[in-house]
Amino acid sequence: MVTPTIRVKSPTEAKRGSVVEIMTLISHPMDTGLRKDKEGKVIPRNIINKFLCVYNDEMVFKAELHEAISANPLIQFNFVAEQSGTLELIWHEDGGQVYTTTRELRVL
Amino acid sequence: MNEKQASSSLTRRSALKAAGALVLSGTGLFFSQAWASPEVEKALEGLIGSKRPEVSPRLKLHLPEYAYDGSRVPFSVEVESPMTESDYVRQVHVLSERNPFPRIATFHFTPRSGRAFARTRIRLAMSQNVIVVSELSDGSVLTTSKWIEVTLNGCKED
Repeated sequence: MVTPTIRVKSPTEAKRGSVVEIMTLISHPMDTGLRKDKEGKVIPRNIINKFLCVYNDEMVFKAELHEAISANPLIQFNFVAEQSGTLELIWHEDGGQVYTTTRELRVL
Repeated sequence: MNEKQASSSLTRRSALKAAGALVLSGTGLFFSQAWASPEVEKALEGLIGSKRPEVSPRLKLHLPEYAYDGSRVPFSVEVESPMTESDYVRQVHVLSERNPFPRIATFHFTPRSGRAFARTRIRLAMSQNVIVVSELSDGSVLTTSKWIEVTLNGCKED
């Protein structure tokens, strides 16, 4: 199993009360369970089924993903910066694997 | 005799009108929607129960009119909302009419989200309507949909 590459575009500083934009990308095949390999065997379903964004231990955004999300899922969302803290981004894969990354945000 | 005939036809007419109105109100917007395929209806029932979504211009669905490759179609959705503790968007469900699986994604928002907006890339198997259903904190359910032309099946091809 290849460890997915995670890319995050997020500001390092933000004004208090402003809406910040986060863009995330994770490399993942998002196999639907419908496709077949060269030998004609069905590639089993393996997708990122959930994405969470936790800011200072508070959930600010959650996405339930299904088979119809493209490979290398991109997710962009917003949240309100109230105080400085850590942004935790969590991806849940089928089978229970979890990939996480964190980003610091300084609120001025 | 004439009088009697007139009155009976009147009552029959009004009875028919009443029946028509009943049928219309009973099915409502939900079934008059062109997208009401049985799979979508079943998926929606699991998500929002017996609630009837209302077509609203507050939902903005950004999707190209035409996509050559259905395996990664840019998609974004925004719901107009003040996003305060008392009035915010709880969930946005994205559904497809003709994909092998009707559910595409569900986005959960909180008052801390600031903006009920989400962007991603989706797979579409063929030309179809993409449907967005949004649940608000006051319990109301809004919907909108958009037709997209797709050339290549994004669900089976590489």
